[in-house]
Formats: sequence, structure tokens, C-alpha cells
Amino acid sequence: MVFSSSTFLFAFMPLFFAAYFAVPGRKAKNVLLLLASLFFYAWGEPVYILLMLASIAANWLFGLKAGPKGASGRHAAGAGPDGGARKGSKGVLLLAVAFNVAVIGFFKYEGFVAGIVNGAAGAAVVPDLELPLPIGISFYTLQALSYVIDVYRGQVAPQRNVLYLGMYVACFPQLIAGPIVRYSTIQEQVLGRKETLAGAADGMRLFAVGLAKKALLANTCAILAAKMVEMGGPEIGAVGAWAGLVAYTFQIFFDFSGYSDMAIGLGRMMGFTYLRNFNFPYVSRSITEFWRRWHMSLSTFFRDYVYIPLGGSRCSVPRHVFNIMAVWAITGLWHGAAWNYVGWGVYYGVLLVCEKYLWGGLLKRAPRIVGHLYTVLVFTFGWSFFWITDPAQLVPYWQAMAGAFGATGSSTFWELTAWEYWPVFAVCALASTPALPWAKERLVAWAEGRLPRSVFAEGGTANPKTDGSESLCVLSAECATPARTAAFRVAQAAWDLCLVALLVLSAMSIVSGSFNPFIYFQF
Amino acid sequence: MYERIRNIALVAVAACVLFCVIGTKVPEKLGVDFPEWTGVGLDKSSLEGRKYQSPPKPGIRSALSGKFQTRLEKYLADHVPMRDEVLLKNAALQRSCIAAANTPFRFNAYPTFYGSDKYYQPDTGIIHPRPFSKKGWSKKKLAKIAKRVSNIIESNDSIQWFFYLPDRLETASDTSVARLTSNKADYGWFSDNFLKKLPDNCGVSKRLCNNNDDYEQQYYLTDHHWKTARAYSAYCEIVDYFGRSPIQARLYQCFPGPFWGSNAREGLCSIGIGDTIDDLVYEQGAITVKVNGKTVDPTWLGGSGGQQKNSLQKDHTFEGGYNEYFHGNKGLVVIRNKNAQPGNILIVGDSFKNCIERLFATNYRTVHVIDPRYYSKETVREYIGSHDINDVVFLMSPFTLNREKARASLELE
Repeated sequence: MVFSSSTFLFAFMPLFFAAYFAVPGRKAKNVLLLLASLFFYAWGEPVYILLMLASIAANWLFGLKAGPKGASGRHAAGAGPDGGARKGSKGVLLLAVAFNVAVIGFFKYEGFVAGIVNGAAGAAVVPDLELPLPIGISFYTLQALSYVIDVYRGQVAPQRNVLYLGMYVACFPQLIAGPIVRYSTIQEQVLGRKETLAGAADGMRLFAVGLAKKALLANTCAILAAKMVEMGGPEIGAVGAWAGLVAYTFQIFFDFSGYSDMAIGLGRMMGFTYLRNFNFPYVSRSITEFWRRWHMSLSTFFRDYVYIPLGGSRCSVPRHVFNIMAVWAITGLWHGAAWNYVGWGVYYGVLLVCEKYLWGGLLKRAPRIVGHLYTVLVFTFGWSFFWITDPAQLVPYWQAMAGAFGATGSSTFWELTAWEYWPVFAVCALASTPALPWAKERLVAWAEGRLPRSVFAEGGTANPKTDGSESLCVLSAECATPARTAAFRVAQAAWDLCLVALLVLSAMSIVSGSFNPFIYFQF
Repeated sequence: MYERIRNIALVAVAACVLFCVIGTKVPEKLGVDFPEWTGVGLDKSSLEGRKYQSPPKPGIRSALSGKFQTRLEKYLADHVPMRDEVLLKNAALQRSCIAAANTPFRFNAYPTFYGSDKYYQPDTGIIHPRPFSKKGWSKKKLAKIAKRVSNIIESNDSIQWFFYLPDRLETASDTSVARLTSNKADYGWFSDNFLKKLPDNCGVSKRLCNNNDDYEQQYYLTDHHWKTARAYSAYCEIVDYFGRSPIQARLYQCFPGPFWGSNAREGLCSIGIGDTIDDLVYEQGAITVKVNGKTVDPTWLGGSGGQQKNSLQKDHTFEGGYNEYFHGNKGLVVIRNKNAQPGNILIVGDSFKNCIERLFATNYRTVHVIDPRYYSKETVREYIGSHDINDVVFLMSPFTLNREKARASLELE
């Protein structure tokens, strides 16, 4: 089940929240959340629910055994007697890593490995089992793994109640497409969270924004992107190829960030606070900055659990280069079991190394617009081989982008339909920037009678250490004067009306059965 | 306090949106009546021309196969209150965005919504379908179809044959949309690669529509069928070829409309002026009609039966006026007129024939009408062999030639 489906919107979500708020007591709410999450998962994967249950049970056991001795209680984890973090059983940790890697490796990469081995051997040495990919396996496996590693490191206490660990691993808002929520982020919230009217309303506001990003922007862009790929380079020429790629660039951002917003909003309605997953990545001035803003929960996961354990940057230059390349090859492979994803990861690895050792300093000194243009070109081009997995299609597409088939290929400009999308692209471009938080900050600063601050500064609305709802949905201020209070209230009401309109329009779009692919569903 | 009220209002409105299906279906099942405009309780859609999904029955097998989930998704989407309005408004919003995007380009026609293959032409109100592309039709495939049809024709040279390929907007070469399209498989292309490959003893249709103005006059603005006047001229051309005199008829407007036809419904576009229906006044005579072997009242054929009267009384906005006024598609229809000249004709055709088959009953004692998409009892050749047929006319659009269902009876397999 995906959030942008009628089943979720008109059945699962209202019934779940009605039950959730009706059930008294924290423990009962947690059990309900677990059961609902399992039902949510089983809706799309009735058989693979067993795999998820096995993963929960195994990681629960690993967690119990992996922690430092004496770290049994809720507050027992953390510093050892010498003040440093105490670590647990390395054997159990290795077993947990092996188990989780084996699970994801078997179900996600078996066919890929079989293809490589059989190709090299020239015979069917390894059978390709053609297993369907269990939905969300890439996300929930990483969550479970992060939990065991954090327990091993003594950073969190093991969860003794398997139902609560199950609730964390299977929690439906982030189950299918993230964000990858660390156990440390929510461990206090398992029993200590509070549902409030304000939280429910803010969560709904963020959900409405996320749904609109997905249903109104991403799905519309997807129509053009899919059409251009289907037609192929020779038919679409340079105009079609670039328009298609721009459409995909917006599609993937609003698809994925919209889903993350919905997940965070749903969590917020239940009293959870997740960290934001996107922070206006398309305004970055370098690729290094881009990856600090894009899919932040994945970037930080690989930073903390792969890059730093490999030695990070505190090592020789060759070793550092190796660390970066290894992390990015894995990042690429995580996205999909295909060479184009590996190539995509390596592409970013090379660029990050180059920015670190070759042109990073130059970029910092260059005018801002140069950095922006460079970054936009690099990530837009990068999406081309993330998007088109078949090299037989990709090469003509690149040729078309380079103008090998003329401006419009064998089609007329009208037929390409790219011209229809410029207002959509304009809205997407604006929504990719922090223009809204910027305007909101101006309004709040005026109401409070202070100078506006940078939206990216500490405490600013685009600060990465928040869940993102502040920047997008919440509009509140301590107004300086009664007159400003009245004006601000009008703005608040208008803003809420806009959000309700977005919710209604998104629901209309979903009911209409508009093109509704979901990119990160396949990971 | 203000914040609290604001939050309550937002959550309440959002809850109304999310509970819109459960909140109407449950009371409806309990016997609560909803006003008609809400659409609650409807089991079919005129706009979409289909029945709504019924409540899926839960079961382990259907859940494991995913059928239950798919059906429930469809059920919930189908039973959103005011669904037709939702579809039309959603498309209208997208269309207004496309119209705005068109401002600097000033194209004569633009899609009715994002991804639509129907195009609205604001200055005329015509809703165009996407022109046929040569990509979807290979010359080889068409030549093969021509050969198979030729085999049927050559199997009996005592019969007179005629192949009438009606123009459609999809095969136009000079409409607003056709001019904007590349690689068209237009009427000329079909004529060269199909009609001209039929045997010499088979008459073929002459093209009548050449440009936008022709289509505006001869075809419905929002439906893919031809208007009665255009169909009448086709009838005259066919009957002339077979050496008989067409019945004299006078045109009158029998349904002032508006109705929005197939192109409008598929394009979710009910703007513009819509369509009206014209019919013919002529001397019909006494006829009997059998549909799939069963005798029915001659009024089943639709139309006014040669009289001047208004037949469509109810609101037909999305009912598909053409099919509603004449009749729907059936596998076999036989019309007899004892007072007509001797001779029997077989019409093998699709819905384009539905408005003129009754006219042939003024020229032939028996009119056999086969719709190859719905008649699977025997092939056309077998039907001819088992009946006394003098003249045969194929009256079908290229779509039907390419339809899986029609292939068996036309021996195209």
C-alpha cells in the first residue's frame, strides 16, 4: 500500500487514526500501531510478511545479546566507567551484520549476482531465482541494522519488548520508503511520546504538503518523463530529451521528498518526531552540499556505519579516496541491483573526490550562480543513468540531449508536449527552493517585530535538525501588537485553506487515477 | 484559543475528506438516502461508460493473489461522492494549466488533460483524437489484412462487393491536430495500402472529408462517429454502386442536445457547445427485425423510423448520444421488408453502420448485418455460404480491422 492510493487515503488512514486515538494507553497504542503496520505491509506483500517478522525477531535477539554487559535497562546504555562508550559483543554484531546483509543480499541481489557469475562462467552456474523484491527491504533492513550497531556501541539500550522493536522496524509511515529512522531518534518516544491536537494538525499539514508534492507535481512530471523515454532519443531530439530529463529530475525529488513529508507528518500525528530527509537539495552549490541535503537519513547512515568505520577522512589520501569510492559504490548498489546504479554511485564518488581534492576550493570562491549551475547540471545529468536502466535506450537518449537527432527528432514540437509543462516546471522550480520558508520567515519576523533571519541558520525554518514541518507547514508567531495579531491570524487561516485545497486537489487527482508511479517503492 | 480552533477546523475538514467514502457508504448500506447529485449509490458511470466496482469479497486466495487489494482500491476510488464531477474538475484544472502554457505558442488545439490523447480545439469545440501513427500500423500488416479480405471477395464472384472505409479524425490529414502531427497514417495512406490492394471487382469508398470544415459539418464535434447526413451520403454511394436508387430523405434535428460523445468522455472534456443529433424523414415501410435470432420491435433499430419526432427525452449529457439514439452494437441483426425490391444484402461493419442499416431495408428484402467484433458463430465467408446474399458491403473503420475480436470472423488470423 502506498500513501497516494485510495485504499490508504480513504480506508486505512481514517480507520487507523480513528482507532489509534480511541484506544487508551500507550502500550495499547503501540500494539495497535504494530498490528496496523504489519497489515499495511501484508497488503502489498502477504507472503513476505514472514520475512519481516523473522527480521524483527532476529534483530531483537541480536539487540539483546549485542549490547555491553549490564546495559539491560532503559537508561543503562551509554558511557562506560572510563567515560567512553562501552561496546558489546563483536561476535553477535558480526552475526547481525551477516544476517541482515544476507537477507537483503539474497532477496535483492541474487539475480544480479547470478547474472554476473553465469556471464563470467559462460554457463548457468548460479540459478537466477527471479525473486520479487520484498517491498521496503532496503529501508527496514538498514533500520534494524542501525539498531543492533547502536546497541553494540552502547549508544542505545536494547529494546526488551519484541513488540516495541517490531513497532519501530515495521512502523508503517517510514516502512516502505523511509526516511531511515534511527532507533536513537525515537527510543524515548516509544513510551514517552504525546499525541496532541497541535501535533495532529501539524502532522496533517505536512501530510497534505507531501501528498500534493507527490500527486500534483511528481505525477504530472512523470507523465512527460515516461513519454520521452518511451518515444526514445531519435523521436524526441534535444528539446524532448532535456525536457524529459528535467521532468524526471523534478519527479524524483517531489516523489521522494513528498513521500518523506507524508511519513514524517503521519509520525507527527502519532506523536513521533522524525528528522527531516530533504533540505532543499536542488539549491546546493556543490555536490558535497547536495548530498548533505538529499536523502539525509541514507547519507548519514552510510557516513556513520560505513564511511567512518572505514576510516573516514582521517587517513592517507589514497585510503580516503578508497573510502569515498567504496561508500558510493555501495550507495549506488543499495538503490538497485543493476550496473547503472553502481555507475551512478561511482559517478558521485568521483565527483566528491574531485570536489575534495581538485575543484572544491575553486567552487567556494566562484560566484554563487556558478556553483548552482554546476551542481544542477551534474545532478540532472546524473539522474539520466539512474532513470534509464537499459543502455540501449540510454545512449540514444544522451545522443538526443547532445543534439544528434536535431531539435525535436522526428516529432513536431507540438507532439513532444514538453511545451505543456512549463508552468508545472515553474512551480516545481519554485517549490525546490526555500522560497516559501523565506516568505514565511519574513511574515513571522514582521508579526513579531524583529529582523528576519536566514532560513538555513540555527533555529531557521530550513534547519536540518528539525522534521521539516516548521519550514513547510507550521505558521505561528508571538505577535508584537494586536493589529499584527489580527493580520497574522488572517494569514494563518489563508495558509490552512491553501493546505486543505492541496489535500482536496491531491485526493481528486488520485481518484482520477492519474499516472501514479512511485520511484522509491522499487528500492 | 485561536490556534486551537484553527487546528480543530483543519483536522475536521481533513477528516471529512478522508472519511468521504466510509462516511457515505456505511450510512447508505444502513438505508440512508443521499441526494442524487452526490452520486452515492450509483452503480455505473455514464461518463466512463462502465459499471462501478462492486464490494470485493475478502478471501485468503484473493488476498494472496492481490486481486482483493486491487478491487478494493478500485471500489474506493469508484465510490468517492460526486466522482464524475471529481474527474471532470480534475481534468478541467489540468486543462486550464495547459491552456495557460499554450498562451505563448498559440497552438489551435491542446490536450484535454496531462497525458490525454484527446485534444480540444477551442475555436470550433471539436475534440480531436490522436491521429493514427504509421508506427502503430505497418504496411506489411495492412497488406496481409487486404489479402485475407480479398480471399473472401474472390471466393464468390456472383456477389457484388463494396468496401467502405469511413473517414475518421484519426485518419485526417488536414485538420488542426493532423497538421501538428508527424508520421501520420492518414486516409490516403490507408487507401494506398489497403483499399487499392482489394480486387478490382470490389468497389471502394471515395473520401469525402478533407479538412477541418468538412469534419465540423459531417462528424460530431465530440464523438468519433459520423453525423447522419454524412452516413446518408455513404449509403447513397453504396446503393448507387450496387445499381439501386437510394431512398429520398430529409434531414431534421431530432435531439437538440447537448451531448458529449466518446472523444469528450475519454478526454474528460465537457466544455464547448457539445453535439446535437439529426435524423432522417423518409418512407420506411413495414419491417421486421431480429437481433441475434430473436424478434424484436422495429423501434429497437433506433432513430425515428423515418418519422419526424423527438426520440431522446431524458438527459443524455454523457450517455453517448449516438449509440443511445440509434442502437448499441450487436453480433447479428436481420431486417426484413416484404415490400422492398428483391435481393438481399450483407453489411459487415462496426458502429458506423448503426445509423444507416435501416435505410438499406428500403432497397433490399433482407438486410443481414454482422458486427465482426461481436459475431463469433461463423465466419463471414461461412455466413455468405449459408444465406442467399446478392451484395456485400464492408463498412468499418481501420480500428475494427485491427481489433482482436473481429479477426476471427474476418478470417484475419
